[in-house]
Amino acid sequence: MNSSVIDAAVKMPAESPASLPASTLDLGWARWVLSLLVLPTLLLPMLGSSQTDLRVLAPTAAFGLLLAGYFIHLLLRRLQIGLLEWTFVIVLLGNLEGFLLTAPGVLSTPFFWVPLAPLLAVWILYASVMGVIQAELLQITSVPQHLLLITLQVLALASPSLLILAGILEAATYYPWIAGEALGAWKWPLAGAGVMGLGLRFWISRRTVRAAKAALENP
Amino acid sequence: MGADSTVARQAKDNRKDSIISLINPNMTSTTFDPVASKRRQLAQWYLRDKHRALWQLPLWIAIATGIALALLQSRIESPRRNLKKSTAALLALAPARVPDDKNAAVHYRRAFAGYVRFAKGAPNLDADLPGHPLTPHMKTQLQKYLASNGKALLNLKAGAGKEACDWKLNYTAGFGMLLPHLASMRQGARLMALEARWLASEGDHEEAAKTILAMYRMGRHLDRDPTLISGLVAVAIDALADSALQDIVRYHLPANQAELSAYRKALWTNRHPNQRWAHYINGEKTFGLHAIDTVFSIPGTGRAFLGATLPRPQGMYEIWYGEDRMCYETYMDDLIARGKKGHITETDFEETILKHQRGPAPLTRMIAPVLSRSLNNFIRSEDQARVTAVGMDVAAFRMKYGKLPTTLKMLIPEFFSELPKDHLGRPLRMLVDKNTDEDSKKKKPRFIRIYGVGENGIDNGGYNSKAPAPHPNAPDADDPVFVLPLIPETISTPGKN
Repeated sequence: MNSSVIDAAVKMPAESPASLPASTLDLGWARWVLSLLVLPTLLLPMLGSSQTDLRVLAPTAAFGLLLAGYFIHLLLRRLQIGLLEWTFVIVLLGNLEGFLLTAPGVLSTPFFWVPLAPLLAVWILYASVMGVIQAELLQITSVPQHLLLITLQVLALASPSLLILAGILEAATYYPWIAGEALGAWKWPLAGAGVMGLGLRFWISRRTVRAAKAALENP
Repeated sequence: MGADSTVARQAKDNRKDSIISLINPNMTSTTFDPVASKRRQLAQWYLRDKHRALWQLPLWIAIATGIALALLQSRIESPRRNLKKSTAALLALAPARVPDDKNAAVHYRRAFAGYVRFAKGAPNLDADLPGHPLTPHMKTQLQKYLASNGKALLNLKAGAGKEACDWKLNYTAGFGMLLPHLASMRQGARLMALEARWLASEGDHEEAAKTILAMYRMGRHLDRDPTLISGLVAVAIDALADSALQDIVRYHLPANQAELSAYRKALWTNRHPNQRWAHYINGEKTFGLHAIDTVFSIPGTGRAFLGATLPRPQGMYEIWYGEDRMCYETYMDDLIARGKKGHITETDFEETILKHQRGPAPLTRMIAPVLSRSLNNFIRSEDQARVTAVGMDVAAFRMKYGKLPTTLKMLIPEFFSELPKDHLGRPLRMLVDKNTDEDSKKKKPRFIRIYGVGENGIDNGGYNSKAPAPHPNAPDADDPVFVLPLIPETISTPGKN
């Protein structure tokens, strides 16, 4: 055996000798710091939309930015998604953020754009990560199917929000000062999309959990 | 060649196996699969998801808010497009132009330029005289004051004699349109009221009646422009004329029927309060829509229009612009429809705005409350006209028959065909005043009061807290009233005063 083989062996990637624990994809202890930031984020709506103090809005923005950074790292470095998938994510993200930031009055109301812009980015990025991981676990190799999974995950993640919004618009029939009839007409499409999203979420999740458990049991 | 590459590959695998076996004797290169390894890694990550469930909670709220904003944006109207429509509607409100030779405003402006104020130290007759007798000292001051304003009075009467009045206002300025003539018209009406009083005290009732008539015509000239403030100033001028009539009948009663009849004819009755109010409120609606569209068409004007300290961040107004505008428009239409039929109370306003409100509607809630109360001014003016008319009929009855009627029924059918009512259908009343009057401490009946129950609907015995002598026990009294002395205080005849 010559030294070049041993050198080559020393240079082999770290994953090769044994499977590594999921903590290398997870944040380790840092995920609990992120979890702590959830609380001020949940309390923010109670402060009211007149809140303009950036120090109050900062924890929510930090939560969103850190999560977004984490998911981008996963997508680009760890999962190494393809160019087409990344372009698709950028298109979704760009449209959503553009729609938000160009809505009249949003930019002049820090309460909206400071927390919302990062959190809506997290929505798309998290859905992309989940879609790509599910594709890997379900052994789906076709790129169009990857894109479909990402899209379904976007809907699945939003499904509880769609149902909450449908509920609020239903309440508007009893409290008209919440919203008018034209807005209230959206409650059924939102409820339908929410139910569909929930159904898809559970169906894909079940299949993926099964595939994940099979992958762990049969190395 | 092929056999050589197979041999080389086999040699490479053997070398790998030897190296790997040094590290882990149980493993060889054939047992390691990087794809499977990665899949296991992902599976472990996927299954460890409790903390990610927690992270989703704020995501749901954020997504719901984002979708709500998207839905609102889908409803958003274009302020610029609406501004074109509202500007056209505003210009359509402007009354037709009147040539200068027929335009009353030309004479009025000359009068405004010729006003002479009260001399320093002289009594303010505008405030001191109405509701009070004309003392000799006041009469001297009044004579001087009217002489110095002679030219202004001539121009005011010339203007009142014209049919049409065009102030040539700049409607394109919208809410910024200036109305400098209103204060001057009101000052002119005060001057005319003083002149009517002077003429009546001198026994020239015919001219005094013409002056009163001219005051009502001045009010009509303000009716052409459909702004609420013009309407309210017109109502104020009508009130000055009503008050002048009251003072003349109380302090300078004509000696004959013809002269009293001249005043009765000069009195403007049937003031159509609901229709006039609806005309002004329709104008206000057009101005209001134009103002809302202007504010949101030009970035940054929201703060300038609404003030430096906004009750909400400006963005909230921009987000809800479409809903707020629609709320304002439908609310105003509803208010006009209700106002045309009858009276509007505070509760009506609140119910009406809740019916139309969609979302916060901050601008509507700022502009709307003042408008609903304005109808009361017009109704009060109409009620005052009615009690003044009945009061003058009672004075005419006394002049004809030498005695006062004991009830209003005695005036039917000669003076009116049925018992008179106020604008809301409540009967007018007549009362001999047994209370202490303002000039005497003895409880002696001095006056007869013809009155209505007013806005509060309570019979306050013909007292009004805004009158020169309000009832001490009824500070909230708001009865429209005409006071007639039981014994005429002064009957002015030509040449005797």
